[in-house]
Amino acid sequence: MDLVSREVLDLLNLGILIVDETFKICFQNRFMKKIFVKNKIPPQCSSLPELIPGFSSPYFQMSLMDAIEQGHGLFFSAALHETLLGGREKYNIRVNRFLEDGEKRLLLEFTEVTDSFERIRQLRENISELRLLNQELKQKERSIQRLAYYDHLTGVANRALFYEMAEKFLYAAERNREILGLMFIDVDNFKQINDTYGHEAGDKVLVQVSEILTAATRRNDIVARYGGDEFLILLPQIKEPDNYKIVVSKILRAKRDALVSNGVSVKICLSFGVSFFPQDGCSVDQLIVKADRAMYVAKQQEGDNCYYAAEDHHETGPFINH
Amino acid sequence: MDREFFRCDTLNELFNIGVKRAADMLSEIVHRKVSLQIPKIMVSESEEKRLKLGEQFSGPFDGALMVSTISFQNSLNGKANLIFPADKIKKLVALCSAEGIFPPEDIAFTDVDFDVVREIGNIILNCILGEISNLVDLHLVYDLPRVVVYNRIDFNQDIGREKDHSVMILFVTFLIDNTEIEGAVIIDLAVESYRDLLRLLDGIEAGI
Repeated sequence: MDLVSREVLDLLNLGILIVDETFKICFQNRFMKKIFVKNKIPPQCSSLPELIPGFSSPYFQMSLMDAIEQGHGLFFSAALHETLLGGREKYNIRVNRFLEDGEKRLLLEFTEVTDSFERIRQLRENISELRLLNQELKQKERSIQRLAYYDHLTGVANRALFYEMAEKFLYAAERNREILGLMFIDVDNFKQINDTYGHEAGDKVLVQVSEILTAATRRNDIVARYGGDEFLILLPQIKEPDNYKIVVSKILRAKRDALVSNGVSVKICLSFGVSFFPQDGCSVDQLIVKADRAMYVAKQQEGDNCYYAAEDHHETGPFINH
Repeated sequence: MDREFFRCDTLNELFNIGVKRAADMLSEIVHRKVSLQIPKIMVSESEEKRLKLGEQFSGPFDGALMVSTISFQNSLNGKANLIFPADKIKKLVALCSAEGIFPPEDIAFTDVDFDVVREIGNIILNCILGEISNLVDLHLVYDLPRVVVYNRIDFNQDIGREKDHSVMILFVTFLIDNTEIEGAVIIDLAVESYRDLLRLLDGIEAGI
């Protein structure tokens, strides 16, 4: 190789190796020598596999032989051969065959791509951080939504969600000429439970009542805590007003003993009042007032009573056996 | 028909030797069991077949594609392309490189993705072209692979435009460990080169 060619190759900003048919090193440029110094490779080695031991693997041997014999151009990516040069830096390698005075030579070009890998790593880190941030935000959004629409103690709907859903159900009932039921439920002797066993015991009773009501209702019914020991249930799309009795029956049939302190349990008794759209009112508030009044009538009797003004009679404990 | 069958059979055998060799090389560098199969080879020898080829190709490859291309000249002139649906590239790169898995939100192609596909294309296409050149004892001059992403390839339009070219499609199934990735190799030959190749194949049949 003439002096000018050597000088030009020395000026390049990529590593150049030229090997002969036996993979003996014929030339290495200045940049290549720097790579060897950086990677603590002794540059005085005379053959390519000696200089870079990875090149002695069957894959490289076969590929380089094909390049020598058939003239295949080769590309070795840093991603697939990360450890080829042993150091931190990463290089893509291109191989081309050329002839020098009739002799076959391979030109190996080493292009440093460490920066690309670093940029990709940073990009992935940023994406990963953004993903975590996004997950946190979604989690917070869900928490905020829960706080805004669900009762903190019992997990059932709060008044805000109840009114929102009630308005929707009422609108649908009006449009589709359906019956919407509203049940008002109050825990009997709740004050007495609180006074006797403490507020923690009272909270346990409220949680259990919520669970009983939720289990007794359909998927689309809405169970809400109206306040204190008062609960509301919205019963959309019921075919007959009488069908509320199925729900009452399921509630009264549930196991209603609440463990309030060590070994002490109390029997939960409930009073129910019901009202219906359209017969008992055209607004949510009217339906609540009617159901509340009915519940009040039921409460005058012994525990587990249900009252519906239009029927003008009480449904009491024994009715569950009907 | 018999001659056509023999040609397809010979090419199939040839390409299978090539991809077997490529699979061994890939297995070695990715440290996983890689197998490559060619379930189907199609050759566009007539206008009718060309249209059929387009239909068959469009099904699995109707979308963005990453294509690694090697041009070759001398005794035969043409291009060999390794094609993957773009949405499979991340999986392929993750399986072949040390990363192993890739985050689902990582969808943009990076230089590393291009480089990995360039090397895989280099291995497979060199092996396939190497077998052709060995069989028919031809000397080919190869370029280094070029990798390009296309939003969509209208096969019929592209092939139709190249009236003086003939096309062979090899549907290639990559099985890396237990993951299957569908790809294809399209060998696009100048019509003269295609005739030369057929003549050489027919010579083999005739025992010349």
